[in-house]
Amino acid sequence: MNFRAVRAIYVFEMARTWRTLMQSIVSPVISTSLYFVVFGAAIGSRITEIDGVSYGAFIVPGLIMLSLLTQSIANASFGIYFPRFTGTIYELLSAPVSPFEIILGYVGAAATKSVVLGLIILATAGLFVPLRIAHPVWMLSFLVLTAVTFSLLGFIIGIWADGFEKLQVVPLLVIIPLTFLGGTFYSVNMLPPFWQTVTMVNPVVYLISGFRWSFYEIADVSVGVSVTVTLGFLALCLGAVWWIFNTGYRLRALAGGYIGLGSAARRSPANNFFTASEISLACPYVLTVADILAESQQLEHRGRSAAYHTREMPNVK
Amino acid sequence: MIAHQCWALRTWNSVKGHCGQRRAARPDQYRPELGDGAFAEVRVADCSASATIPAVTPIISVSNLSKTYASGFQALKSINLDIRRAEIFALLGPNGAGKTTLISIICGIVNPSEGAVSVDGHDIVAAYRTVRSMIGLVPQELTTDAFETVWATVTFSRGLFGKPANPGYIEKVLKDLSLWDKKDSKVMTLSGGMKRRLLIAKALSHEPQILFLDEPTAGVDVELRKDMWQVVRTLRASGVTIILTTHYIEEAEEMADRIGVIAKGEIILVERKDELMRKLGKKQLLLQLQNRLTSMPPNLAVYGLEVNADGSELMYTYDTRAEPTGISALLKDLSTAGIVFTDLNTTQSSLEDIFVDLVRKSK
Repeated sequence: MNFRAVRAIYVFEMARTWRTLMQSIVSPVISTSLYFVVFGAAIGSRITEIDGVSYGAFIVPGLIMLSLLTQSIANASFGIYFPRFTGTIYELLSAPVSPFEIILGYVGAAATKSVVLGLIILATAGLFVPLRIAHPVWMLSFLVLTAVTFSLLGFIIGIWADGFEKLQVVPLLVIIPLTFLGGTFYSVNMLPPFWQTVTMVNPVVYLISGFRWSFYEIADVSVGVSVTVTLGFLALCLGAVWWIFNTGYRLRALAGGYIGLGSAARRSPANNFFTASEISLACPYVLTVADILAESQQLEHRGRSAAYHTREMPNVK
Repeated sequence: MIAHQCWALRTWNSVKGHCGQRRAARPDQYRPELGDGAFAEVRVADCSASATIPAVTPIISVSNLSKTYASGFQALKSINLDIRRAEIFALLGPNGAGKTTLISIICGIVNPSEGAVSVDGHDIVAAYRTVRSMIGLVPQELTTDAFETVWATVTFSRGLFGKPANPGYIEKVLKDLSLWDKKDSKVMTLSGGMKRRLLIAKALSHEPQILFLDEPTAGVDVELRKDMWQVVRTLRASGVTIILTTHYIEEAEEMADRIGVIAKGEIILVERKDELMRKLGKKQLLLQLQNRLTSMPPNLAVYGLEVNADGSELMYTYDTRAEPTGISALLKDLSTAGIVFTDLNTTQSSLEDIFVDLVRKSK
């Protein structure tokens, strides 16, 4: 086990959080506060209580879950997608690390960030509504389990995505709707019977229900079912990751020098990250931003890398 | 461990003045039969890269290696190649010849379709951890992080390869590559040449015994290129094996101990550079004659002269290393035969000519 490599990946990934403190921590806190103001005040004035819990307090677990899910996915998917995009993944592939260590580093860091964020949101919520946590150990367990599971999902998305827009698709089109429809802002029991049945297909219902139970001991489904579904989803993600590393599916750079590769990685898993060069639509604007930033700091280097002539190997036909 | 760190620090001792001298070998070349505490001595090839390389067991051994991509394209066709310890091996080949594929397989980025590679006796697949921790790779493209600092990204590389933190060593690497004053700068603010050096620093961060440089000086200015060559020579002098792919023949001519030419996925030739130059490199003396030559005088027959179609030029091909070259004798015999020349010109085939010739022949 190359613990130093796991630590290196973990530290490197966590460093991005501190560097991008605004996006990573501050903005989710602000948006959660807005939810409190809008939903808590506007809707809360009409719905005073659900199952004996004030509306403001009722939505806290759901809001934490909402951030936890989206942030876990965003952090983990970006963490592995960016090296593929820039091509720096060559280093990860040529390093003495196993797939398990790579996942431990990336998913561990993404899950850590999400858990920290969840706790910060919890503290923020404490400023707005009186909180009661009936089962703190269960609460933390749900928090960690969900963060790890969805960071794994994020890792899978980061490998699947071949453009920045695809990184956004799953969180925007799948996770947020499922969270909103999963009982974040209401109890499933408040829905008409038909929709109560439909809702049961939504996996997020089980996450929120279990998480809410750890706070207030009220649940839409039994805790055992919640834990089972969460563990089941974790197993599903682990299975998908196992498959990815076994087949080498899309484990490769999008752009960069090592091109044209991509057959199944049968002999040594982790090996097969590279295939045809494919710079995504997002490339131009990313480069533009980088260029603008670089330009402002780098004028003195201009001209140093100017082309010059030397004897270049003739390309014999 | 301590011995290894000592070596790590020695790695960066300047090589200036080491031409042809004898140095202590790396600790892993320790030879107990020489007595307790004694290191074997190896002869370090001289700075012109033309001195002898000790015949040792290969550090990299590639056997019957083939790679066929999913598209059906066969990038490598049954390659056999041995890389010797502490040599600079230049792999030359036109675009798409398979240079990068070969390197990628050895470094573990691409899986071989057939064949095997062993590094220092370890199979690259079965013992991937051992093998990969010995290897540093400088990729062809400037693939760097953007928002991290130079220091963070180099430290990350060292950790990724399983080495304990050693700020002193990283400082040395950055200083040797003239990046120390940029250690706190974000990578995206670096110039192209600096990024190239950063990639070298990352590859060296874990003290590799083998360094792959995939077109290391593409887009690097002339002055910087010379600095980089110096760094490479310093590394070689400390016992690091260097495999270089390049488009620039002058780079191979300047640096390499041995040269391998690859074309269309096959190794056409592997030869000591000086041997290659000697064997295939020719020098020609071209004489412009005042009067056209109709027949070759008998006293000139031994020189194997070539006459052009209209008899106005004579060409003498000779080996510059031959003693004598035969030039003075030829000029004397020309005078005896009453042949007057108006101008003379000598040309030497470069590695480039040799390369072009080889690749053409392989087609």
